Amino acid sequence: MEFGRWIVFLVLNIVIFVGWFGVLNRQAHTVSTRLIIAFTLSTAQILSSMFFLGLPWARLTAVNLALLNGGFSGALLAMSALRQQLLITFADLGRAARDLIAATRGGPVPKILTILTAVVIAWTVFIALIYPPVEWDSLMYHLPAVGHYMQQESITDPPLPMEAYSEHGIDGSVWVNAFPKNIELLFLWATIIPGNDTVVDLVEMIFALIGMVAVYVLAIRLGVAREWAVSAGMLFFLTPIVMAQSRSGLIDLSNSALVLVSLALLFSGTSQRRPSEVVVAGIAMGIVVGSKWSGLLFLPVLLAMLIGQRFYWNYRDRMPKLRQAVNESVLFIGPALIFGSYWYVKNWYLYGNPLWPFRISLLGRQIFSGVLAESVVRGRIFPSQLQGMNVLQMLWTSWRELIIYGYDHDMKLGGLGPFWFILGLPAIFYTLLWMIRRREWAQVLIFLAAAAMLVLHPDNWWTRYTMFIAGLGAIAYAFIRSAGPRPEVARLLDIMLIVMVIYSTIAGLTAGYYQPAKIRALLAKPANLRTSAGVRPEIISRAFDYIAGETAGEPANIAYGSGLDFTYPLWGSALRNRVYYLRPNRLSSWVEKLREKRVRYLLIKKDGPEQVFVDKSPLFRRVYFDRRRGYEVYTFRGIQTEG
Amino acid sequence: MRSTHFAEYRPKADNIQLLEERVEKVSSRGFLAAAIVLCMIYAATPRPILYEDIVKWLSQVIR
Repeated sequence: MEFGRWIVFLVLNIVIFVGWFGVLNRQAHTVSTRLIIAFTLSTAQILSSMFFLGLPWARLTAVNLALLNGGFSGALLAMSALRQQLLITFADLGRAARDLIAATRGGPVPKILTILTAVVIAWTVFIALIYPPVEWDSLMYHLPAVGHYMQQESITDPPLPMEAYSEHGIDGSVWVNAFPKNIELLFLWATIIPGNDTVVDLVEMIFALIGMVAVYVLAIRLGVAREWAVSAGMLFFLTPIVMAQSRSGLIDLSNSALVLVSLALLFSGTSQRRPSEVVVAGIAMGIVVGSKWSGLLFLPVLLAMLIGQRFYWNYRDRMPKLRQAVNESVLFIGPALIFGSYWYVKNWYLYGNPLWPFRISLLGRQIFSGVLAESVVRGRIFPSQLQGMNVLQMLWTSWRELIIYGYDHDMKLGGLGPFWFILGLPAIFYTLLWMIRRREWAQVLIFLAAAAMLVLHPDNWWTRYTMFIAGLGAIAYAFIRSAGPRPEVARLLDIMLIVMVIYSTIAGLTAGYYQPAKIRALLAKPANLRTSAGVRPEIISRAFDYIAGETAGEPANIAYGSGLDFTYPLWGSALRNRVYYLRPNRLSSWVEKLREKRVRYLLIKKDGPEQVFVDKSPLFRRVYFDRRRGYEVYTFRGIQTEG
Repeated sequence: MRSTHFAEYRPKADNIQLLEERVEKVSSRGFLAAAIVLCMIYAATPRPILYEDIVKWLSQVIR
């Protein structure tokens, strides 16, 4: 049964991607451009099917998703076959692969980068397959969203805590309903079809690979030689924070990759933009907007770039400016709003605030009410090393990697690696200088847009949010290197590059909980006992392990109390448990809800609001207590009593 | 250096011209000097825990 679901998952993904790849015009787009377009459209298709099945009604099941997507993509494939495009499509992909291999044989740098990239991909797949999700944010809200949507078969908001911080602790699941969730729907796709979360940590790696192709496409369109354009793509992939996020359940990498896709599609290399590419760039940015609030800042920047480039091109070519600029703006913004706006409209409708739970003020006047000031969250996450610094000082400190831990998926200082600081930064400076001298304003605008997105992001020192600049740095370096500097300089640059990328790749593989001894210990356990708490006991309570062990054989309904940071481990790796948050208003109504949901286990914080009820009622029996973190597990006997 | 064999990958004609002219424009020595200075700053920044992790990881792999 499980093997069959894997086959369905694999075939579905291939059919969806090839379906789109096959219908794209071969004359209009290069193979690499078709790859990023087909990927973006495939993503959009999967998201659309989830909205269709999970929003107006609760029909979001694996079977319905498979039938809907299989049927639609089957029709696309049939269309390609009728136009006799299908075989040509595969021939194109084969030829592109051969060309890629040829490009990586060009010199020592591409060869070494290829080897490192292959090693990192293999390592990432290995780690993702054997490790459970372990990232703070993914256990707190990215993956709990998957759990809730899967059990209720819809993407409507589940009833969850409404306060992020209380005297009892952090209510992590408040963010399930607060944040936009487009990428989480892809995590859901990678979970609901196979029926477990084994490959959920590989979703971001697919985006890393697409980011690589987008960097390649943009480099080629900027005139970089193919060998170096390929190298630029691999340099982006080998950025330590990109490598770390490739094996995570976070959503930052997918957002940066889609920003790169959008940048690549909006600049065609000439003044002629293809409308279809502008639309797909808009879809990519729509997915970003519908995934992260920062997308709301990035979208107007890319729109300004699009308009600026159009005005420059048409001024240069003595053509009317306004009409084409308006047309392209509509083609870009329309799809972006379609794919990005739902989560904000939903929050506005349900909670009276598109950015709930934050209070939103403008010029000292509150526009939207909420339960949380943004400064409270910022105060909790802001690193002490950056206190009192201005933006430039913060970026300098982060980029020179004054890091207090190893490379990690959410490291606060560093992550872009030595390549960015030593070669990427000066390369951007020199490339920009060259472009300005040549009055290549359309190209300059790409880098200015990236700089504007960087500056506008309130946490721009946190490299996980600005990974797209690593792609621009790699392109700028490839731009300079492919120009053919003096041989002695080129040799020295190559040696520096190879040394620093080998170093940062090794450093990127060695994060604390991926040490070989830990991997060996994990491999010695059966798959269902490789738990998040087992890997990161310093942040995750063993109480989760207790429940996972008790429900491994027979799934159960579980309720959790207030002040719990993580909830995802409660579902178990096959997501067979059902998990609920039941607001503790009165003992009788709370017990009634526990009965109604047929809850068997209850996880609460000691001294949390549920503690009083549990102490008063004979229906609860404590079966596990994590003294260190203050977590208690109770069994609820209300169902048996009733029976 | 650049393969233009396949039309699929061929950069636009005006970009080829730009690329060739770029050889004259980019000061490769200035770029190298900037990179070396930044390399020294980077190398001088302390990262004890990262280095410890690397050594631990490598020793576990080799053992």
